[in-house]
Parts: sequence; structure tokens; C-alpha cells
Amino acid sequence: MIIEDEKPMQDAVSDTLKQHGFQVLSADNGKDGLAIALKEHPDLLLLDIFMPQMDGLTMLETLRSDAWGHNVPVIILTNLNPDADQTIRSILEHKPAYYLIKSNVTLDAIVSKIKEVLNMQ
Amino acid sequence: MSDTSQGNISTIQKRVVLFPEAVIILDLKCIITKADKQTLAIFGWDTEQELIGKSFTDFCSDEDKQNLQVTLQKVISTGAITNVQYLALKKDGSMLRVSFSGSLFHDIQGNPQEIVCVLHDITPHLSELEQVREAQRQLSEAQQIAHFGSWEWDIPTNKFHWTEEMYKLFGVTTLSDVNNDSLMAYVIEEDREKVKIFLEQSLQEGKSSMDFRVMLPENNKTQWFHARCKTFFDNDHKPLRMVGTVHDITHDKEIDQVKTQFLSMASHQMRGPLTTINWNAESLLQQQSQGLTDSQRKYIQELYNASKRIVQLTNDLLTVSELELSRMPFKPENLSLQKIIKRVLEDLQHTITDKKIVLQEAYAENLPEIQTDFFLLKTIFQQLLANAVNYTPIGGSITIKVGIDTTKKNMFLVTIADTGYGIPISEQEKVFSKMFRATNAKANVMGGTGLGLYIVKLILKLNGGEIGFVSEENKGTTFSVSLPFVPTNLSNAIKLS
Repeated sequence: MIIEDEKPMQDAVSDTLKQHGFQVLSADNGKDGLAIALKEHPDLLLLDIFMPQMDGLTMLETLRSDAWGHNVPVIILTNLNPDADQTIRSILEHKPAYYLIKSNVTLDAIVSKIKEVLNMQ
Repeated sequence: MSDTSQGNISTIQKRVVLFPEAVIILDLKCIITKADKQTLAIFGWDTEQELIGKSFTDFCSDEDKQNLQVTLQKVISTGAITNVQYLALKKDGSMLRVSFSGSLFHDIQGNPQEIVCVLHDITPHLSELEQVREAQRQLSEAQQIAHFGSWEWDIPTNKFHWTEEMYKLFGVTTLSDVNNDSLMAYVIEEDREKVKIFLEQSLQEGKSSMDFRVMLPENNKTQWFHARCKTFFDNDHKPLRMVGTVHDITHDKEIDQVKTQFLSMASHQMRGPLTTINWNAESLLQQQSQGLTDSQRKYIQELYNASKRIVQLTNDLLTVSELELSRMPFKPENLSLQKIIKRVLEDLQHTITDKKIVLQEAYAENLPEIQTDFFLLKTIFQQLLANAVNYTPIGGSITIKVGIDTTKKNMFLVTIADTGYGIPISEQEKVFSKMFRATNAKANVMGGTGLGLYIVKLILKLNGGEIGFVSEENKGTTFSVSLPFVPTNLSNAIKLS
């Protein structure tokens, strides 16, 4: 599942994943994303941080308090520098959460990361 | 005084002609009865007749008239008054500061007869004094406008002189005693060591300069000051006195900060649209099924490459701004130099293979782990190795050696030698400056940011380390980096974490 407010990015990721044979759910903000995720229980979440209504970090915090959501792997996909933000640094210490900087990764790399994370489960 | 007479007066007059004093004789109503040549000269009159019969106080500025009248009355009542200053009026209406002395003279019967006044033009002395005062006033005003204070320290007597603006900068009254200790109380704790080093350096080397912060007690506000000083020595090289300036640069620092913050924000914002360009270009390139022609693929590939270069630039700008703002977290952990270098090489492998570059690596055995921040350490090698790869032509070689720096205590030594374009000798000293790119680098490689080595230098400053290089044009460059086992600039590291 991808939770991303910018449509062109959401589409690019979602199309690529579908081409690789994944079933993809999408949401435009943290609030919708949380509702859909808690209902559909996807295998993995790709989560943006800056989003309207509910930002990614708040969504992640709520998600982690849910019995199912506690352990679902999350890849944070954002353009924020993890090194520059203490909150993000501390979140990364609570696995399973991974971090990719959008502008620095290719779609290919995202697919590889998803496969790697799912294989570890 | 009772034996004085007209004869005595003319003797006095004769004598005073030799001096620049003017002598005027008044009757007891203060009407001028006689004026000598010097009086005419000083006040610009042509003949004595112009003055005789007029009141002496007519030739006085309005503001001093009353005082002069009182003074003359005192001469009559007490017999003599000396050295009273007032502003006199010249014939042309201009003013003249004079010193007045008056004596009462009596006739043979002992009755008061007339007042003999001696006037001394003190304008020349005054103008010297006033010039000094004027210069002081100008200096003081200029210092005030520029927030620029200056001070002097007489070292043998340990006496301090501060200009008015110095007191203002530190928010203390001009009455308080100042010395190095009282100054130190205002300096914020983290910068005190810096101030000590500043003074010591000046005592040893003759001059120094620094930026430091003070906390003003009145509002608890932190101000940035820039200080410079110079020490003067006697023949035995004993320090005699130190003079210095302190300049309020808070505004400059704020502007600098805003500029860097703006840069940081702009770089972050640029990443969004760049990601969209990158991902969509990537999608297009992979969708061979849609049947792009070769030239279409080439155009998209160019767009994709250009976009990736902007990403690199924004990343470098972000790193620079985070480092300059001291916002880069520093989280020391135990790391393996070899693992990190290998990881960086993996990212570069594609280009290394493409350019048929021969890569040689030599890691000393049993190397201890390095304690430092992962991201920062990785950035050092990313920049240095990317440079080596980018600035080495096809078929060249890169040799990496990692070991212990035998010339220093508890330091690693990493050397990265390439057979690349090299750095022209005339440009070598500028290599670590921000946005600098060597002329041959610009000619051969597109898209470098000129930030890489500047970033490396900033990180080494933070971590405690050194970098140097030897380079020959068209032969290659070898960079040597010394890294401490544990960060040596711990105060920096703690401050930033």
C-alpha cells in the first residue's frame, strides 16, 4: 500500500509495483491511509511524511498502537533528510521501519527494497 | 594698590605690548576709556575712537553678558579677578573666546578710579582642544553607528581603557571597572575557551581575531561579536599593551543563518518535483513495450541524467547548509572503515565498470573500528571517491589504502590515489573553498558542484581530522585523510548531537 499525497509520485510507484505483479492500495493522506490499512491489512506500507489531514509520522504512531499495525513493515518514503530530524531518527530505531529518500532512489530500488523487506518477514 | 597711578598703568601698557594680551581701561561704570593696539588687532577695530565711550559689556556675546557684568562688579568690590573666560564679540560680529583678568586702580587719595582689563585670546588653544574633542566625538559617534567598540589593555599595570561603545556593547555603565575577567563573565560559556586562546595567541604572535557570543544581562539576548587585537612589545619582546576592536556582527550572523535556512528549505522543496521527473523518466525508459525510438530514448535518458545531477546538487547544498547551521546530528558509533568504503564503492561500481577503471584496494590487517557518525563518515568517502572516479579518464586507475597514520597518535590514514586530470598548481590552494572547481575539471567533467571537498573539510573540522593532497596535472591526485580513532572535537560533537 502506498500513502502519498502527490498524485504523480503515487502513480509512478503504484504503476511500477503493479508491473512487478503486486496488488496495490493507495491513499492520499495519513487519515485515509490509516483507515484503509487497518481495514485491509496490507503486507507492507510505503509512507510519505508531509501530507494533508494527517502526516505520516502521526499515522505511523497510531498504526503502531494497533495489534496488527504494531508489526507491519513500513518503508518511509520522503524527501526529508533522516539525519536532520531527531523524530525520524528515533522512529527508525523502532523496527520494522525503513527509510528511503525519494529523490535519491530509483523506482527499481524501491521494488528491490520492498522485496528484501517482505522476504525478511 | 593705593599707590598705583597713571604712570604705573602706562608702564603696564608698555610692557604688555610685548605680549599678545589686550589692555582696556574702563571707568567705574564699565565704559571704555582707553584701548591699546593689541585690543584693536584682536577685535578687528580700526581706531581706538570706535571703542571709547562704549560699554565694555557691549563687546560680549549675549549669553555671557550677565556673567561679565557680575565679574566686573566683583573687580570693583574685591580689587581683582583673574582668568574668567567668556565669548567676546569682534567688530565683524564673529566670536572670540577670551580669558579676562581685571584689576581695580585707585587715585592718589586712594579712591577707586578705573578698571584695567587684560584680555587674552585663547581661541587657538581652545581650537586644539576642541579639535581633539571633535575627533573624539566623531570617533565615538562612528563607533556607535557601526556598533564598533575599541579597547586598550596596558599589560604591565593591567589597566583597561574601553571606549563608550564598548560599554554599550556589553551593556554596562561607563562607571564600572573593566578587565579581562569582567569581560569573560559576559561571554557565553562555550566560547570562553575561544576568547582565552584569542588573547594568548595575540600575546604570542602579535595579533588574532575571532567571532564569539556574549549574553547580555539586561535582556538575556545572545549577541555575536567579532574581535580583533594587536599586541605591542618592547625590545625584549615583552608585551606592553594590547589594543583591540569589538564589532557587533549579530545582524550579519542572522542574515547568514536566514540565507542558509532558505537554501536548506529551497533544496528540500526542489526534491519533490525532481523525484517526479526522475521516476517518470525511469518509467518511460523501462517501458520498452511502448516502442520508443532510439532518439526518443536518448532524449529521455538526457533528461533523466540532468535531473539526477540536480538531485546531487541539492543533496550537496543540503549537506552544506546543515553543516553550516550546525544542525547536522553527530551520533558516534563504532564503524568499520573497510565496510563503509566498500559500500560507497558499490554505489560507484556502475561508473567504474563503464569507465574501465582499475580499482586497487589495500586494507591493513586488524584495524580497530572507528568511532564516528555513520552519515558523516560515509559522506567523506562518497565525495572523495566520486571525485576520483569522475576525474579519472577511461582506463585509469584508483588505489585506495587504509591503515594507521604512523606520524600521528591514534589516527587512521586513508589515501585515495587516482591517475586523473590532476589539479593545476596555480589552483591548488583554492581546492577546499566553496563552489570552487579547477579549470581542467570544468573542461573535462560536466555537472560537478564544487561543494564536495568543502563538505569534506567541514566534516573533518567537526570530527577532528585532516586532509591533504599531492597532485600533478595530467598525472593524477592523491588525497590523504587522517581520521581520529574517536572524534577529537568532542565539544563540537556534543553540541551538535
